[in-house]
Amino acid sequence: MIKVVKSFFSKRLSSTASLFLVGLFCFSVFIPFISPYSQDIYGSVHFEIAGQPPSFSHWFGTDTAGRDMFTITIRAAFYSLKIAVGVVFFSVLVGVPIGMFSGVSNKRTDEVIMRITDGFLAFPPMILPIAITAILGPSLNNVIIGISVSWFPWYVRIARSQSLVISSLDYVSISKSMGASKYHIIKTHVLPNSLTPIFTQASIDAGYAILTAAGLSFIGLGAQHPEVEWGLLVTQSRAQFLNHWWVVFFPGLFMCLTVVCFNIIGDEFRNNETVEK
Amino acid sequence: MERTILRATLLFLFCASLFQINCSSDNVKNNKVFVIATYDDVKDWDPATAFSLEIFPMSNMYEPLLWYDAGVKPGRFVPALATSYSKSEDGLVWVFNLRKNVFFHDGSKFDAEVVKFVVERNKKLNGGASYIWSSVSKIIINSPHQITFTLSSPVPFDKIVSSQYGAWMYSPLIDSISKDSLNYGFGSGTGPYQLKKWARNKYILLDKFDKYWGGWNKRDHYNSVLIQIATESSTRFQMIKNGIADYAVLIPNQLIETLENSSEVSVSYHPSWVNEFYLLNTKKYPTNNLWFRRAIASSMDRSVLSNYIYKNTAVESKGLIPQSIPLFVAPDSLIEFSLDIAKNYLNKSGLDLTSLKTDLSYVSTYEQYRLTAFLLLDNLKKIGIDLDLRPGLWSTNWDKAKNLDTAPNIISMAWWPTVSSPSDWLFALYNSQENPLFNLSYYSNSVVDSLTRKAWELETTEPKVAQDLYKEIQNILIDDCVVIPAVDVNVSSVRKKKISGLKSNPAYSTIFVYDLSRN
Amino acid sequence: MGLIMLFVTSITFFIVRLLPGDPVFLLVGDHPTEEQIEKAKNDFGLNEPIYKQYMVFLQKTIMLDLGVSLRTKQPVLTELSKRFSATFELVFFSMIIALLFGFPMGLVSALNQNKRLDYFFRGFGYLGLSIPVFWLGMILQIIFFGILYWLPLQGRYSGIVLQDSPIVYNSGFILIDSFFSGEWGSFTDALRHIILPAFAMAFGVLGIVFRTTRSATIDIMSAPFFRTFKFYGIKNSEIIKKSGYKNTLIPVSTVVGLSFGLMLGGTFLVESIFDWPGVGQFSVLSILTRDFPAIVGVTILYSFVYVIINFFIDMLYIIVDPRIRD
Repeated sequence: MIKVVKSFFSKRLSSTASLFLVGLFCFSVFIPFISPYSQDIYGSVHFEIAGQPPSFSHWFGTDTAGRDMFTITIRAAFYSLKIAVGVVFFSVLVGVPIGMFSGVSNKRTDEVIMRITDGFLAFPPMILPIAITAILGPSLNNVIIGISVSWFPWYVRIARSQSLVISSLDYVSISKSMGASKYHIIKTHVLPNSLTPIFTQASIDAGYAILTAAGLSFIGLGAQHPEVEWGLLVTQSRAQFLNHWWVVFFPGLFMCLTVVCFNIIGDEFRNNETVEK
Repeated sequence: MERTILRATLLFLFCASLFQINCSSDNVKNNKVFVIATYDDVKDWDPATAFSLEIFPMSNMYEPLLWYDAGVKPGRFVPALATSYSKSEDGLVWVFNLRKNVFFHDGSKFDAEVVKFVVERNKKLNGGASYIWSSVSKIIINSPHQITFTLSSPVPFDKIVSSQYGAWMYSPLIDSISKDSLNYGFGSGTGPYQLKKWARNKYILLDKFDKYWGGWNKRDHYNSVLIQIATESSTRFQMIKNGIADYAVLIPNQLIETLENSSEVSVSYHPSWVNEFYLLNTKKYPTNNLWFRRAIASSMDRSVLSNYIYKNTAVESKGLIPQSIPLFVAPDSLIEFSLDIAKNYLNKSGLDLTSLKTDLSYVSTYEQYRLTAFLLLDNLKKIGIDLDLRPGLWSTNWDKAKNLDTAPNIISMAWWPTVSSPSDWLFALYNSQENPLFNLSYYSNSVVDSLTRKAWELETTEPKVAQDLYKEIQNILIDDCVVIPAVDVNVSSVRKKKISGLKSNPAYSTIFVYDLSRN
Repeated sequence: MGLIMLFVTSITFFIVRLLPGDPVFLLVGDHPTEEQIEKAKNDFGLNEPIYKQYMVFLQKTIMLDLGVSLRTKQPVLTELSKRFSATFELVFFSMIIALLFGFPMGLVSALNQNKRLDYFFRGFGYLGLSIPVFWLGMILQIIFFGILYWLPLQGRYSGIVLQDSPIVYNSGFILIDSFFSGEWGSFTDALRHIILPAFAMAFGVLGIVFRTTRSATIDIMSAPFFRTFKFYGIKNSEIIKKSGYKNTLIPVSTVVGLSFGLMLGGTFLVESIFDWPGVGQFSVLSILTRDFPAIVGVTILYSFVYVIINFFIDMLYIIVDPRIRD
């Protein structure tokens, strides 16, 4: 694992990507203190300057409520990254242990767990998040819950296949026959060796979480004003977007760049995964 | 290599063929056809119960006893199928003289029997707007062209017979048509145009009715009306821009703005009888506190609404009803915008100021509501109140609002009348309701209830007194701070420049093609 | 298979009733009276106890009576079939675009590994995977409608064009129908309407197809038979053109199959932006307006599609890979 991280940072592309993400995150944390328009982040509106194209005073222009697009676009990174990390964190936290347990258990338990997992996976991609946010009420936190609930089965699957593969290895069978407990096997053998594929999936999922959350905001089930989130900003621009391209363009651009970075990082993990094999 | 070249050529040809057909098909649109581009289809062809977009074809196919012309000041009644009328001193007995030599599209004659038939049938069906006839207790036919209505209470019956819904006179042969064929398109009225063809969700074609009593030599009339259904606003926009449509309904603002410098299309704004406002929940914390409500009302900046958010699509409200409604009267004062005064009110409220939260429900698909919500959120923040926004579709919002547990503190509302009277607003929105239907402020005040009843019944006999009562009622409602008025909406008329004869009449949300002429 | 569908549908039936909001208000107009509301409730059996409603629902579903949509007042089955063909047409067209561009790009990229062209295409591929589809759609609208005014903003066709040219065939796929009817007006109109949404959707899949093709081709290039050919002096591109590309078909077709399934399930964003009358838009609107019969109908449809696609992929594996057959 350490080897992976090392080779990671030696590659230019993935280190640029990581740098971008970290930089964006820090910027989004500090922007309320630096920007002259920081109040816009908390819902301050100024209709007299609404709908202005990019200029020197407003680098990304203003939206239909007069908010400074640059400030709120950067700030939205904070929330979108929060979603990305939150979703991945919960999905992994719930899915991986279940999957690993399933992989080292007897056939019966494994079957049952996998059937239930398949049941979850049978739902079309967005239906569960939509249903959950519709029931719980739209908000950023509920978005995290909704997406996690629909994604953790993937981690169950990955973790399970990893633990199946590993627990069938010779030295692990020996360990088992020597009476090692399931927990011990998972901790010592399965876990360390499954990290890479899980990380691969996690990085890519982080990106997709942002896109999915944006999709939910689009329907109105995601973040709510005055929260700022890229998908929400694009949605809010719809009534005038033909005449105000900047309100659509910049949030989407940043969303795109962020997801690209996550994908690059995920790819890097995947390359190492193949190398490890 | 050759494969790539081949592919590229094909792609190029493909693209070229598309752009060739940039402007839509230039079919021979006989220029005697008036084309209206609208957004949805007729759902109910029965003139007794239709209550929505049916107004477009029906206002050209049918006629009521009287029209109401609200485009002139003061408004006046115009004879339609009734040439004159009179009422008794107490306003309970109304006599109408009917127009002679009027025929329906199917050939049957129009007379007093028909009128009786229509009113009784509407009452029996009890759908749509048929409740407007509820005050009719007796109908007497004096002669083939004179009919007397006896009412149970002295309501302004002339307003009722000129309603845009539920007041059309239609052929008695409707009974011999099965309910199914009503679904396949049926219409027999006395109006200038008759139903020629209906292609569901595609178009409605009306042809001129030669035997129309008004004759066809008043001007250079249109011979047909084609109501095209295009659900996407951008398609309607393209139709009007490319000259295929003569009149387009509901074009979004961002597209209207691009028509400003057009040489063929003109955009104008006219007053309508729609207004928008915000109801405050008087039974739910913290809006159940009078001073808290007043604080919120003082935080609504109507000038920003009209100058920036709505621009020429609306004007500031001057009362609880639109300024163009007959018998409109402004209350003594509306609560003006002032954040200092709002803070004062908050202090007076006696509420715990450290964590004041309230919520606002609005229709998510309407941009102006969203911007107003943002404005209110910002202003309330400045006086220390947290506003939770709850956008949603109207049906969901309304449903939640009807139950006190799920109801919001503030809800956006739009209202337009079925009968052209201030009482329409008052009955529906502010009169006591056990299970609120539209009284979403949960307001119950027996004084308001009785005053509204009184005013409505005095409208015909003593209009000035009625008007004073309407003023008094509004004063009470403002004082109790049940509602925050916002704007009176303007209707936009997007049409070809070379059409003349278009008049503004907020009483009917439609366009009367018979009155138009081509240049 | 059937069990999964039953499971999913039943869960949906009950979950949907958890959603806050009463759909009866969809049925009545804007200004209804109390009696009209009660009447509507009774007409639709919304006053019955829940288990009774469930029984009725099961019975009707077996007979393919999916009820009537509370929002559009049309039978759910009709709505779904109309809209399914719209969504299918869109997804199919997108898939064609994705393959048309993604596959050759992948081959070319693999052949020119680590050269400038490869990096350029790979960047493009990344973009495809990362771009939010509704943003792309809106940008396309701004460019091709707002600025250039070349293509229509939304919709599947301009209703007026369709009325003037009667279409004889009725597969539900306008492109096919108009093509075979010889109605060029309708055909080009429908084509102009489908381009932007299809392209917006294709972009993402393009990225996946590209990558899979590229990595599959790279794998092939290290296979023994490949090296043999090279040894004989034949160029890389020649080998690929002649026979190499065939080996990429397995992973690519898997990806195509999966993407097809995913796309069918995820069209609602594109459909909303472009006002495309498909199943996606219908399902989202149904959820937002608590249109119970419609929601359940859509779920049945989606799980059915999912099951079918999985089945086809399994079949595909068996056909394409002779090794599995043994």
